[in-house]
Amino acid sequence: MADRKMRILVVDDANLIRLYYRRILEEAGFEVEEALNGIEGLERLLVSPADALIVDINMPQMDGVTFLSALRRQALPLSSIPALVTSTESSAGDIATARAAGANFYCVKPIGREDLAGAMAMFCGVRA
Amino acid sequence: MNEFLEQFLVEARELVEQAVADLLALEREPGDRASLDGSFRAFHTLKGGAGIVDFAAMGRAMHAAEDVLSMVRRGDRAVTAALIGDCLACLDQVVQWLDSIEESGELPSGADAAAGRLAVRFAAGEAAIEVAKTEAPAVGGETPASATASAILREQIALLAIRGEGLEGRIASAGRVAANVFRHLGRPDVAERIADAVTESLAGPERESVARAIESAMESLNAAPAPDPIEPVANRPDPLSRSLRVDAERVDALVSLTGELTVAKNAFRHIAMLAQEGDNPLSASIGSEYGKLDRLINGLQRAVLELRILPLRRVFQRFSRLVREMSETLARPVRLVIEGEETQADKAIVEMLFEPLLHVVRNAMDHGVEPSAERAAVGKSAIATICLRARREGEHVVVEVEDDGRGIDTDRVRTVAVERGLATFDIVAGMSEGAVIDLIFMAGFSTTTDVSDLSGRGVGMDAVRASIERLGGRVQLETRKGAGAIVRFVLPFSVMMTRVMTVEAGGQWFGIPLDAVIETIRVPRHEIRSVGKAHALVLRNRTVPLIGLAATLGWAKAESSADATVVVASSGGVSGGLEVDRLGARMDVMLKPAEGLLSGIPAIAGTTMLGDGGVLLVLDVKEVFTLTTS
Repeated sequence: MADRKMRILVVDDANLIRLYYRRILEEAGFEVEEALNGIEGLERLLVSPADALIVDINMPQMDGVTFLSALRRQALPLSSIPALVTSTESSAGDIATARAAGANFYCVKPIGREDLAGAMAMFCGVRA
Repeated sequence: MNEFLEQFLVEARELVEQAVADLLALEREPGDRASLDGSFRAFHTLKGGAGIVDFAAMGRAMHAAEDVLSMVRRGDRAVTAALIGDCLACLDQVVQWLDSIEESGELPSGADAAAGRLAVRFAAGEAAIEVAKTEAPAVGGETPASATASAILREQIALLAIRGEGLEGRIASAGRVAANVFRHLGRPDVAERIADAVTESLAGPERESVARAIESAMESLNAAPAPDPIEPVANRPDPLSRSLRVDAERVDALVSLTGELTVAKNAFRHIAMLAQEGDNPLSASIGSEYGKLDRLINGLQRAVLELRILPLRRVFQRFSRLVREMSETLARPVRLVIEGEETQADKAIVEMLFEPLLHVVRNAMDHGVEPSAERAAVGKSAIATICLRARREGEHVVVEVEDDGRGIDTDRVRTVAVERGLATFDIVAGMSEGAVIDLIFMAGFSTTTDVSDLSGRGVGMDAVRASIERLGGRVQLETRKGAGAIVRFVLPFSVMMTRVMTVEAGGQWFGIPLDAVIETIRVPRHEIRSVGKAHALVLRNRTVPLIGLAATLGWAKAESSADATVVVASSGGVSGGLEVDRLGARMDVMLKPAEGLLSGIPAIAGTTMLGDGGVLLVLDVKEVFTLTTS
């Protein structure tokens, strides 16, 4: 691991999912922050930028796609934060929509423990 | 059947073919990302199609297969024979459904149960794998980590292709992720190069440099000592992206119109020639305009015929699967090698080739390839090889099936021919090896005493030869005792055009397909010998039977002249000389099957319109000779 712990912001409205991600990521040596929807996510990032994001698509108030589009329109370096999008949908259309909004990778739920930790290590540029 | 359903049928069949090919390739090379992605996409697209036509059961089955393949993509499941088998079974079911839709025009009933069975099958496989996975890491292919890395890198390239608002953010984040992936992999040097490309891209108008940097970085990853066997998906050309789907009927209409145009052009040639005869001041310009028209129409005809051209891949692909199954049924390990599948041929040939090829491949598996023990005894590798090969040779397409089995036992062929009453012992004893092998093509010949599961269904090589000859081709057979055999189909590249030599006999013009013509000679009458009622001539120490074409076909008696004009021809293993009154031009004709009254004339392969509006009868040379002997 690098000098400091990498910070991951999880933006998901499902409590169970956030808890699941937190367990896995903390075990893998990451620091985890949570937001319940897009608006909350943006607010958190403006206060303290994360090293990577895990974003759900279907969320109340501001969904993942809107959140990402808004993020990518911010000034650098905030707009460059890597984002992993997670969804239960696996259609090409859903993937294309997420990509157009600025997602760096797309995973269909449920995501395996190793996959999640591995992807975050890659997103943050740290050795597993 | 509604339009959606029709389109669905066409597309689904293509997708099934593609998926089968990809799955088999994946089975051979479990790490091949392109085949994995290809088969996944095929199932995914099939699912989408099923959704559009409201075929929910099929959608569920496709979804189950898609799920399994997507786990493989994520590295959660390894590619196993069972997994490939499940996916193939799923496609088999799809083919059955498609056949049923085609027949009835409606969605099949009872599909829910079948889809349910498939889903259960996939779920069972998953459970078995889950257990296996905890015990041993995935074997072969790529490690899940590098698969994920490559997938993430490719996704960044895709992300960089998007334009519009938020572009800088996307470039910066894609570059950041790509650089971080390489840092994660322990390659900070590569990461720095990508980071530099990002700076450059954000500073100037050059937006592509990040994608290029990632691509070249991925290549360096592949070339590294511990190579990552993944190629970017982008390297695989999508065959559909540059093609246009046109209804076959429209193409045939175009072919037909071009044929009529050719006939009109030929008529014009007649006029141009008439103009040359008189003192017409326009004759020179008519002649030169005809030349242009001739060139253009020939060009058009070639272009139109190319619309009907397909790669033989369509036929060959089906064999990977079939050979695999036959190999299991016979418990004889066989490796299928396919060469030249990109070779192209006319649609009619590609579509008709499957049956005869299947028969030959079955023969090779059943009679050619020895059981493993027998192979080991003679020092051959335990796994037999069957090679399916195609190539273009001038105006021909050559398709071969080669096996490394025991070859053809000519002594056994002799015995069987006598047993089956095809020839007497004296005759077969005196036959050359080549002539003996030709016996295999006789109706009623089959070397296995038992009717086997695979090949012995009463359809012999005679049927194969007949169907290849119907396509205008010929069959050759080569054998090396103990080392294998090659069955070769020599087919015309295009079935539409037949090059004929025109001949006049008894006041009627005929066309003889040039394929059948060996040579034309003039023979002094005194050199023609009478053998009973028949005639023959000696040509380079060989006695060639000679028949009068007009008399044989029941036309008026031929004119008598000092020398006889003879066309020496050969077809379907029969050869001889045809006496004609005079030889005419050679021409390319579009052969149409003889219809109406003409269909009653024996030995006519087809007809074609002549420039002066007359009809040219094109002969079936083999039948002409058969008429004489019978």
